Amino acid sequence: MKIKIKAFGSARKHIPGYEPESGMELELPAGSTIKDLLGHLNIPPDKGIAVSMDGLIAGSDIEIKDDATIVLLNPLAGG
Amino acid sequence: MKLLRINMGSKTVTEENVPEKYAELGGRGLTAVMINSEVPPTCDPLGPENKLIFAPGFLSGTSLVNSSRISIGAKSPLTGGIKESNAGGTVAAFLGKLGIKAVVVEGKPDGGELFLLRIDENGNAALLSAENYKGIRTYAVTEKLLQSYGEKNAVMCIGPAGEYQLASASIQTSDVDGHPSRAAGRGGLGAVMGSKGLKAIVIAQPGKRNDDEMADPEAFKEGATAIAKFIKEDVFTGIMLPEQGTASLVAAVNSMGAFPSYNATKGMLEGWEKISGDALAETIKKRGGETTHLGCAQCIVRCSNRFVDEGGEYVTSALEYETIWSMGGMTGISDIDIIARLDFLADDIGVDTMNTGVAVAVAMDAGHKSFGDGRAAIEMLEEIARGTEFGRVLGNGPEAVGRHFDHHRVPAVKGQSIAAYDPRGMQGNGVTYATSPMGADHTAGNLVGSYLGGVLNPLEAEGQVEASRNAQIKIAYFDCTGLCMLVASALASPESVDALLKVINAKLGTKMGHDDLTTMGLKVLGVEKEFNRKAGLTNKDDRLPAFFHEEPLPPHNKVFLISDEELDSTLN
Ligand code: SF4
Repeated sequence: MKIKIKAFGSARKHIPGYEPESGMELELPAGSTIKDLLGHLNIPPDKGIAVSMDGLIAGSDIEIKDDATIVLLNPLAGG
Repeated sequence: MKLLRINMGSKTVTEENVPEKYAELGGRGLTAVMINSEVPPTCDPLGPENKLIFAPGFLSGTSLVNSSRISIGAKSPLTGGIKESNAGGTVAAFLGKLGIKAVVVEGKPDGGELFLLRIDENGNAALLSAENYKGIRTYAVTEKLLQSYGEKNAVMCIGPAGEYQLASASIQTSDVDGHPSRAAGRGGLGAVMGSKGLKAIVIAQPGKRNDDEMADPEAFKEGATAIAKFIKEDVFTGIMLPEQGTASLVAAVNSMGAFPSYNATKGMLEGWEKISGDALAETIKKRGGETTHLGCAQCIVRCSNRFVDEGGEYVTSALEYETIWSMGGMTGISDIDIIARLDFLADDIGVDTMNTGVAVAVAMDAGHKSFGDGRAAIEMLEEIARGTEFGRVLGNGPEAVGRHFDHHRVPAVKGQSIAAYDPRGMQGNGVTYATSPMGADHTAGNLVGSYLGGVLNPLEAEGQVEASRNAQIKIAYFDCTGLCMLVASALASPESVDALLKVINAKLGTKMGHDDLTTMGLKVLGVEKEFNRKAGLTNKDDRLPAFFHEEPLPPHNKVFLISDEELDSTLN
């Protein structure tokens, strides 16, 4: 399945050659989870990167939907 | 330590030793207790009976990092209840070092005279005439005062909005560069200062730290070193805030569909990527500004920034998430240069960026101007400075604008605008907005970290009341210390709280444990609620406006789900 990735802040540092304007497209096997995606991108779990899928924060066991937009975010607290 | 009482009616300054009952209080705790015991709750907030209290945290002025936050308290002309507004800069560190626990401004001059309070390097205070500063904006006033008294002084001042006594008026404080860019924005405390005829306070940089009253200097040092380490090693305070400041929340909150946009009719701003933390940092770097900037004394996080124009000239400092939202998201403006200009104007005129951005948005929603019209927004802010009829409506905040246009969609609680998290997309922040004694206020208990960390589902009712309660209690005690709330998340583990307790006990000579901090937070909230009750506020004031319950917010199309009973149980 195909998904779209957008990355912000420190998450960008984990994706070499990331283009902010266009984002990135990725093919993943059907049934992949957020954890699988982070593994695929070599982002260690302890970096605290938060992930949202189609506007909802998604935990590591959540299954990724076909055609989803995934946003990789900074670990954050209050502003 | 001492209290300074400034009577604006008799134009006298008196010094008092700190009474025993106030000895262990500081910051928000001190302002809350003093207001509750000294200000008649039903008084006119702009009358002589109200008191404006400036209280550094009890750790301000020590060597502890990130401890230069000041609490400014009074009865609020915006909410009609008690108010604590918290600001950074250098003031808190200076007052703490001078051994001044609080400056209490009381009474009111008979005529319309304007004064300046000078506190010298020995902590002695005098009232001087400020007639020649009448009507002058905050950047110009601060520049002139620093020229006269020396650039190392700290300044707190009001702009034209404060002199007009508008309900959104702020008190601006100078940052380490001498710009009045740090604001005690919320609750209209600038209007209270204006009503007292006080244009500015100028505080000399103290010669040396006042360590006389440190109960255990050695233990303090150990605790303070540990705290600095926790802050440095935390990803949020050690990496994210220095790189992008609070603006990195733009991406996060839009990606969660909870960024109130177009006067809270959508949860995502079109073109938000143009105003994200990444875009902001890139623009600032390209133009030669600063992304990691020291805003407050003794800060090792440096969340501040210095935004410059294309020619490299200073525009504003600390363009922060909440302002990017209020002047951008709410108004539909996605041009970072216009947002920066609006931030500068708000600071310069002396109004709260949040209340004012939301007031502009309500006016746009009511059809006064179109969403996204940056020029119109700038012109509206200029009207506040000129004191036109509409400018005064706008400067009195979103509810005044709603009444003016007879428009129902006014995102405010107790008269104060919400902040940059929509209660329909972050239900727990809605609980905080509704129930905080401060009115809608994100700093009173913000759960965005729990949502991003996946600890709590932002769209469901379950768990929100408890999470908001815990966050409100934690911030209530944190606001007593003088520590910046942005480091609160780095001081969440039991070991880091141990370090915090060590410095508190070493400073105050107490033997507090973890539970005592909770007790302190509960006590502060209890006192604040008591004052509000006596001032005439009821549980009917602890509600969100009806439209949050009735109008679903795209993209999730949720409404606010928490019942009135649950809201009432939050802090009772
Ligand atoms: S983190 Fe930001 S707001 Fe907090 S003390 Fe530092 S500069 Fe001030």
